[in-house]
Amino acid sequence: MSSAAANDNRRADVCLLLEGTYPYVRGGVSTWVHQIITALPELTFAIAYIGAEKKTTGESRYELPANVVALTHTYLFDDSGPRGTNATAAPPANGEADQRLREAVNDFFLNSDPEKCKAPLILALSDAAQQSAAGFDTFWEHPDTWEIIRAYYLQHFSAEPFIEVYWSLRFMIRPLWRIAAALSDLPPAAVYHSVCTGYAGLLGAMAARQNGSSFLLSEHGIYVRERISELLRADWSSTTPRANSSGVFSLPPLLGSSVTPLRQLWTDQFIELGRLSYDTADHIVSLFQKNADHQVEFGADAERISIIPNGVAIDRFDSIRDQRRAARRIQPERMNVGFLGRIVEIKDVKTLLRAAAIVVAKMPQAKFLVMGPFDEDLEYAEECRQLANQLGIDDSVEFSGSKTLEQALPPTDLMVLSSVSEGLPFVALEAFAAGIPLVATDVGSCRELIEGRTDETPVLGPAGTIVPVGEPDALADAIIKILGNRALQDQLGAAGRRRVELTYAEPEVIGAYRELYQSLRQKSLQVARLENAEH
Amino acid sequence: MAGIGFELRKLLASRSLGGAMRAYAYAGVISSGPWIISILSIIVLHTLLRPILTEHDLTLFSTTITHAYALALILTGGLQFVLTRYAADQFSAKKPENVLPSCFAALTLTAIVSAIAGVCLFGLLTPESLVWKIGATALLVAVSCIFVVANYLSVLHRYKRIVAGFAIGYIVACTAAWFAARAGGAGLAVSGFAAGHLLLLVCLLVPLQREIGSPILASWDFMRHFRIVPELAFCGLFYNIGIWIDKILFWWFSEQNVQVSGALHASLAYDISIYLSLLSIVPGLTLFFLKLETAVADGCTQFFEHINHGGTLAQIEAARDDLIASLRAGFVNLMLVQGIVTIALLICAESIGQWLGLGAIQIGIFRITLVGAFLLVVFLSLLTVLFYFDDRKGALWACAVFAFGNAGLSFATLLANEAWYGFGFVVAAGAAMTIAAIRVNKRAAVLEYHVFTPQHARV
Repeated sequence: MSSAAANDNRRADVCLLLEGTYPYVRGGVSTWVHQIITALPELTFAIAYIGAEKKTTGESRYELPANVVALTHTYLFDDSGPRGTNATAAPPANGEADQRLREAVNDFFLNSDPEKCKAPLILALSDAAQQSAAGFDTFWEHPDTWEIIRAYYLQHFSAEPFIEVYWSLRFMIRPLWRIAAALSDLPPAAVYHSVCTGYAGLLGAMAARQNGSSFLLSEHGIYVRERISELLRADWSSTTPRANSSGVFSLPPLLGSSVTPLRQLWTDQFIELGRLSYDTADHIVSLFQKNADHQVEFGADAERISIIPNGVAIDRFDSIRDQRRAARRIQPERMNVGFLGRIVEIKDVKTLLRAAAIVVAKMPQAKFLVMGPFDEDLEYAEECRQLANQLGIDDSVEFSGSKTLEQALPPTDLMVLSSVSEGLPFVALEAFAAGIPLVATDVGSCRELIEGRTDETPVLGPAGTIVPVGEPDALADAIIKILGNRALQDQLGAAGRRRVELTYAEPEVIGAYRELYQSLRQKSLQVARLENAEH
Repeated sequence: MAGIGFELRKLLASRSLGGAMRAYAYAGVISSGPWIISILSIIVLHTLLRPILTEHDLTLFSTTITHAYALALILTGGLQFVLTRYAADQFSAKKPENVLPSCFAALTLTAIVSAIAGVCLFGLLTPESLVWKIGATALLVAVSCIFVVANYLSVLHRYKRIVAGFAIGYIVACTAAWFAARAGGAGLAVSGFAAGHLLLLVCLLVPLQREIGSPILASWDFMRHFRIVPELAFCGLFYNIGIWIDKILFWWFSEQNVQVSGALHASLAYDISIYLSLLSIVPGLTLFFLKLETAVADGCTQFFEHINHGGTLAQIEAARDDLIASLRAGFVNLMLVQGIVTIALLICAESIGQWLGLGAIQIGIFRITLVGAFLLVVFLSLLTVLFYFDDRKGALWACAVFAFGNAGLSFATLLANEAWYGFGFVVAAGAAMTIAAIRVNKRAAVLEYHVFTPQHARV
């Protein structure tokens, strides 16, 4: 470790590498990050935020806790960066570093055995980019690079529109330069902790290696799976693709629809980026077993995976639970179905509304409280309002905007989660902690949450119902069954509360991470000591 | 859900390539139009006014016009290509409202600069009548402004407007000069000629205003293009210096030079010969221009269609080869026709010279510069192609070699003897043509590479 790095006043115990989440985007990951930082005041944290473009990054959604010592930003797709002014005149192919860069690019595109994994090549290319003085544009516009791209195109894509392949490759390679540049700006830390694979994982792997630190990888969703499903979802329709929940990636129709080789290209890139993180991480954390299985499927070593679920501070929910009980006693006829989350496509609020129409037809007194911010995707939120109107359930559905848990949970008799994708949703834990039963789609860890893990002791029984994704009828049936039966509600709610107390309590989660950080820091220190001894 | 949003759709949008490329390519050809017309008008007026004016007045009149045109081309040279490029970029960025304000700003600048130059050269350094001084300065200002406006019309592809405007303007100018000459010698003749040019200026401005009228009067926004494409400024400057520098050197330093009046010099032997030679390029230039507007433009459109609308690399390269083939055909055609014209003129040089009353030295220079004119028209066509391909560096190199080569070599021939007169121009045009040809070949072979490396796509 260099002395300059050691004296950096941004030095942190843990540097969190966050791609498209905290502190700029709300959601499960951000909630968790904030929770971890706040609950571990004895540690200092640095945050390296990786975003797409500066101009699409909004205001910070969180007040950073006092133990955050640094916040850096990297924008992978900003066009505004400095560019080489004389790209045609400056032949960067001299100098050893540039030569290595050229070789790395050549390997990356042309020499890689399709059977062999490409992850080390991505790393080699990023390394070469970091060491080369040539800016991306100078590199990219060099005739030698053109020849490599041309040869690669002719090998694999010769029937595809050239302009699309060209820009795709450019957008694939350019982030590596940005990551390489971000590396030099990264605060020194004993542990680099990336909360997804992808580009944050790449940065984590490089930073840990450069500083002799440990690299910890936690995944809430499975980045690779999410990217692949987005690539597939681009097939859905020819309507304008739209950014989803975390302002994420929506592919142009041209990539998603007919152009399969291009989709394969992106899929491979994400798989390899994932593998790179899995290969280099000292330790891998998954929220639940099914995700751990996916990680293994994408190349992670099962030995290095441990499972640490999300957790909530149960005490906070005692008064909420009591308020809710009181409110329900006063209104024995109340039938409120709650939805608590961002109004975005991935939460599939439309399926919930369609189910609501079925429920309301049978139970006119049922009310649907759609609680959550609209501003993440104004267009989708507006479509939801229009749908409610078309379904004729305006009077039964209330779009009430953002609510605190104290406001949202007491009026809710049954919580619904209709997402097409989830990790380990906080809203489920929060509902359970308040004694509210849950109907959720069969995604992420929802089944485990509602039905209990197979190894659960004692067996607590169900805390709600699991339904298939995107089926309003099934969702409506499940809602009707629970909503019409108060005793059932109380029974399911009690099981949920008990499950959270036993398995998803915040102190245990925080404790697990405290231990993990401690052991990884120790490991970094040992490495440092060994290195010092050698010198 | 973690993971960042790269909205490829947005990133890929507005990545259409090559929009501005061909729009300003005609600048080179267009700027040679007025210059040829000016030569023609000098010869016509010389013939027309010979019976009316005294020997001195006739020489003064021709020399004034020559100086006004030469100075106007050199003064506006640095501005022309930059302005055309700016206008082309605004059109391709769908901001046509920016175009006319830049024209008015540029006209203001041009008028001020050329007025100062006119006052210096004609007002202070030449002892002639006040009427002449005013007329000559007005002529310089008008001609400079006309070049600027004509360039804008060329971006709009309003060639007919330009031709019609020039036809009307010149008929009026020549008629006015003729009547004025009868009334009061060279001074009034120049003023009459200038008045005709002012009318021409208006004739060109009216369609411009009608087509791209803008609520803003003037805007200096175009000045930043001097930073974006500085090569174009130097290109224009050097090209126009290259066109005139041999003549200017001969006016001042050849043995046959005469001091017409004050700072106005002329070289009777050289001027008439080279003007005649330069007129010989009209057939070749016209032919190439037509080819450019038809087959080459189609080839270019095809090429960019394939690039921007999903063509495979094989299709793009095939379209490129078609484009190259049509360019090659254009050049073969040009050289064939211009070659025949030049050879015919070379054979007939003796009789033409005698018919026009030229001496042996003048006929010799005429012969040599005919070869130079042939090389010049090929050079000019290649230069146009370089603009087409947006090879600004290549264009700059060729123009610089033309200017400095013509200056240095013409001066060297002046130090030698009359037998060498004209060789400077020939060798400079040949060298510039060679460089342009090499650049065109190099560029065309990997045209798609140059299109895709984005500094070309960016404004």
